[in-house]
Amino acid sequence: MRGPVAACLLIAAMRSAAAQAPDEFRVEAGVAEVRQAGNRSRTAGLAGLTWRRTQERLTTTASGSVTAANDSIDTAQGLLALRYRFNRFPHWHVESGVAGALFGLTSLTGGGNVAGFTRVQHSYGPRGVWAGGASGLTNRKANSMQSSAFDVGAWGEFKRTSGSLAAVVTRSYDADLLAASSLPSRRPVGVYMVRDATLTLQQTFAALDFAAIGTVRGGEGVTARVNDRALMLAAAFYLSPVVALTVSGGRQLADPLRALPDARFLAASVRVLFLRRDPAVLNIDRYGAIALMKAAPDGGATVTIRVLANASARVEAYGTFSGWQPVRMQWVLDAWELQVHVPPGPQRVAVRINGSQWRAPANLTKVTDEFGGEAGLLVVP
Amino acid sequence: MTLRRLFLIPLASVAAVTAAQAQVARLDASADAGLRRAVEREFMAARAIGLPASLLIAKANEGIAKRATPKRITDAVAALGKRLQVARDQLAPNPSEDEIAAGADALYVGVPAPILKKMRAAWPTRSLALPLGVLTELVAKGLSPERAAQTVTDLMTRGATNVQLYALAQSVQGDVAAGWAPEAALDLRARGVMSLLPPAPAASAFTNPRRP
Repeated sequence: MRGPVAACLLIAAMRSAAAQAPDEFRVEAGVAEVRQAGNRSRTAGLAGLTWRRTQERLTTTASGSVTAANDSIDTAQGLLALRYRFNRFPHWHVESGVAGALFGLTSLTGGGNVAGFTRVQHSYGPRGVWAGGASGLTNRKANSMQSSAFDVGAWGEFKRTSGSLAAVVTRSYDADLLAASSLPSRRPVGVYMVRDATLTLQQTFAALDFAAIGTVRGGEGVTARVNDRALMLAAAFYLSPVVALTVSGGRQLADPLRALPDARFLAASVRVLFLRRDPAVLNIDRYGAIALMKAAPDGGATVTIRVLANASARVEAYGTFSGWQPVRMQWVLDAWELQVHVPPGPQRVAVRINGSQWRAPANLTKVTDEFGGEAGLLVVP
Repeated sequence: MTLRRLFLIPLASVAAVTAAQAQVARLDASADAGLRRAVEREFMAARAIGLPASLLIAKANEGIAKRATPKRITDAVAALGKRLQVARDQLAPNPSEDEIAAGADALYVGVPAPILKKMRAAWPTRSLALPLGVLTELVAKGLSPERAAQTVTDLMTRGATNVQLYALAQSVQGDVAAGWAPEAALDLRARGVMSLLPPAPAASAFTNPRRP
């Protein structure tokens, strides 16, 4: 019974190359070629919805996806996750969520999975660490199999590159998943444990987001393959601020927590974002932070900095005008704005959203400083 | 020298030291003692030779605000001190503080020091602060320093105003953002400004006489 556990890895893979905006509603649709271990390839249709809302301290994410192949790999899944930032401890976040999946909808042997997770994060600027736990329950053929996991990790951003390193220990009774994922001749019994180390790298090149996810796995107990490794690549090319083409492929190791099987896949999809200004948060260079200058009658100039970002974002500007101290921008009509009076001469200005990396406004010449930072150069006549 | 004058000299010295200390006091309070000493040393050295030393404090504060390490901040301040000195020397004889600051900025983005001297020769009496700013912007945009400096200097020699130079930089920036190569954009826009300027002085005809 390998089919029913094949499931919802595809939408997850499609998302992996996508930086996520604080507020968004996105629709994705595409096709994929999937091949589980020991099975022949299947062509599947994919569709997914993601909704995200960011408030002052709470971020809510809900998503749903369907994989359709008129076969037992048919899957419907949903996710609801909350991320909360404490008022008294602004560097700490708690993230918690629940996911559910139904698979094998058109087959005789359907099943389901429900999983929950909680994660505590500590972030400081563009880097941070986390620790968390998760538990999942998978039901197939009226058998319930429980899995649990503990993970720790760290992440960081440097200019347009971001990355994370995670270590996960999973304990699971999901023998069917193992049987469907690796060597069927060694059908396991009882509990098994796997230890994963996963390195994720994401890079933005102009209109292209690229991600690589590599996992090294060691197994114990009844795991048929003691050591294993997998690599998944994904890319999203933005045709415009609201439309992107995504391509992803590689291998996903079995995930007993979410009942995802070991599979190789190649997927392509189209992504449409319905909140037009949200991508501004992803990449200021690409989407719209600008600085406009108007000569002041008493000399110098008034510089108006405008940033297209969501109303709930925290948007700041700094530069020579503020002695490089961050200044909160104000929400004016439909964008974030700051007006400053600057004297004649060269001035430098940068903006950031939600504490991310400082970036030069798109219409200014970008210069780097001796401290590894970036700012826009403004020559005031 | 009267007794009163003799009495005033030490007073003036004390006032100058106090003013310097007041400027150093603008260094961010979170600077540690080692960094403070290093910046003070650079500040006093720069001030002693007449450089706009407050820029060093601003640079140190920038590094502190950006959470750079003390060593990196000290290096940046020392490097800026050197650039200010080179800029002052190249822009001699009497550069203003704005010109020195703009010259140091130009040196930072990779403009060779002799170019500053050539620009001073083109505009011996007018402020170079804005032309140097325009040059800095063009070079930061990806143009070669020599090419950008040649264009800016030609325009200055032909009598371009600050407003025209500023408009040139803005136009090039817009063109580059629209996908033009920086060199092509500069050529096109410089020709546009040239067309608005009076013809080159007739003297040039005498320096290159044509045979009848």
